[in-house]
Amino acid sequence: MGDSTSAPAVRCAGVVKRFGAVTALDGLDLEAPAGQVVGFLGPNGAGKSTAIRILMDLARADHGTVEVLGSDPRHGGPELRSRIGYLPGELRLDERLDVRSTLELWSRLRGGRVDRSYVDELCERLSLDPTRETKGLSSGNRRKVGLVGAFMSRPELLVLDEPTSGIDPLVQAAFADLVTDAAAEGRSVFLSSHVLSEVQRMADHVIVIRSGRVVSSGSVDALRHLARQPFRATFGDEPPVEELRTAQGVSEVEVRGQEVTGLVEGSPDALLRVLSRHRVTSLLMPEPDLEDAFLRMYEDDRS
Amino acid sequence: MTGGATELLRSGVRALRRSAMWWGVGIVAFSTVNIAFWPSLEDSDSLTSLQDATGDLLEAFGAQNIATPEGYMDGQMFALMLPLLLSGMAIAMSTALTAGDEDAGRLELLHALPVARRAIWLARFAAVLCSTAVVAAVVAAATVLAAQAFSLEVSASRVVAATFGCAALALFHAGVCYLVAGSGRSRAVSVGAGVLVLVAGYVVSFVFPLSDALAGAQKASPWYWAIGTQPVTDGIDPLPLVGLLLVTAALVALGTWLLEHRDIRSA
Repeated sequence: MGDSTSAPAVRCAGVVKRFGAVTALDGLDLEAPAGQVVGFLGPNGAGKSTAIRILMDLARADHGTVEVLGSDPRHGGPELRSRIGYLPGELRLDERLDVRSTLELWSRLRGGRVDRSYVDELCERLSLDPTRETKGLSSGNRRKVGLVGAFMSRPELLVLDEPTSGIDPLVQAAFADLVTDAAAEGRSVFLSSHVLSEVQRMADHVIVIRSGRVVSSGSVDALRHLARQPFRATFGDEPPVEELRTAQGVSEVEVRGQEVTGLVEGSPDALLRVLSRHRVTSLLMPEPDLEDAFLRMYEDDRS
Repeated sequence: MTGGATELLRSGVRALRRSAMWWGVGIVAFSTVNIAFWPSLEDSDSLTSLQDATGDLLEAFGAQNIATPEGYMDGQMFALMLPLLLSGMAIAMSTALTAGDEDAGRLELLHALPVARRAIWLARFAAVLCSTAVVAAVVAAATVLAAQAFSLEVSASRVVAATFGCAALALFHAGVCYLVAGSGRSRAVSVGAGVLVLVAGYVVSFVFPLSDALAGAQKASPWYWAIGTQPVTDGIDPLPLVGLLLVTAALVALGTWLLEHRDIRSA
């Protein structure tokens, strides 16, 4: 087993996976730093789940090398998997068992090294009733069972495929807290999503994949820098439309009476200089829309 | 056996518990009803008339000596129906726990837990083995008791041995299904393969001997290895039976090897 203290949590080099004529992964190269929350982003069908299943040794790469916590998942076996908590994208539970029995089975298969009170705490935080039958659970509730299973052993690495899919906003917030707690304890989280806004609050690092290849990889701060920040300014007199349109980094300026909206890319310094020369009665600059940066990355890749 | 393997075996047996119970109830009822008819049939001489009238045709059902107590047990149960029923049960159980659960995506998370792939699948085959053994033991005990109750004079040890032979045949077919599921095929294909081998084995063992040209092929049938043609009348030959169990072990080993070298299907 490799040295887990220095190795990245996940590393893929030149990974190719084909299903007949379909190439799901086409030379995937990625590195997820250890001890960080990494968002693995891409549209549906980009190859996220295939890549994750290879990390978990559920699927085998045709070519390339894969390392998880410093070990090849194909040879790491149960010892490596004991250090990982996994939530599949399509979670199907054994309906012959109720929720409590399911969690107890997973706990025992993890060698009984699971703190039962922590499992109860996870159920409470995710609003999961463990006495329920698994048969007839909604997809959101099934996902909660899967999340408890993934977190229950406080693993070094959490690999979560579309973790918030089908979960209501309150539980999404509880899940985000769990991820934050895991990161604060120095554990690594690798979570996939096709919706950037879901992960932008949690992730330190993002990897964007499209058509089986990594399109972009970097810190969320860098992505945020790439994003255009929206602004909405209301003026006490005639809005300085031309000044705004020619200010550095400002684009898509639209005027509606005394109100001007637009986007600013990079530093807002030029915009603020224009505004400071006029009477501004209100100014709103919400968080940069990373979704916008995310989509632009795709567009850049297409062009 | 490690704690994880014990746990996997226990969960497999638990999953099959209800199914095994109903199969057991059905087979015991079938056995008891057949035996209950023996006193009236024995007194009426109808079995002797049937035997004289149909002659060799009864061989196709292992019932050529149906007028004797042992021949009646063979013809009504042990040569055809019990092997079919137990094998049907084992095929259903084996495919449910392997290809069936994989088709349904229920193995995805299990395979991501710190347990070896082979441990999961072998424990599931062991659960089929245990369930089949329990059902066979109950059927054997119920048959012996029913035979005593209805004055069907057969050796209890012959009945137990014949039931064991039928259970071994059932496990062989479970092994065929396990091999096909291990290679990554769906439940439908796995069931189909098991049923095909089951029916083909019966035809080769019981129908082919009606033709002089084909009779030699009988010894290639797993049915013949497990129970011969009249397991209660002739007794069970242990050597081919052990051979069949070894072939079953080989099927399971090959299925496990194939499993280790492929992707697990997602839902």
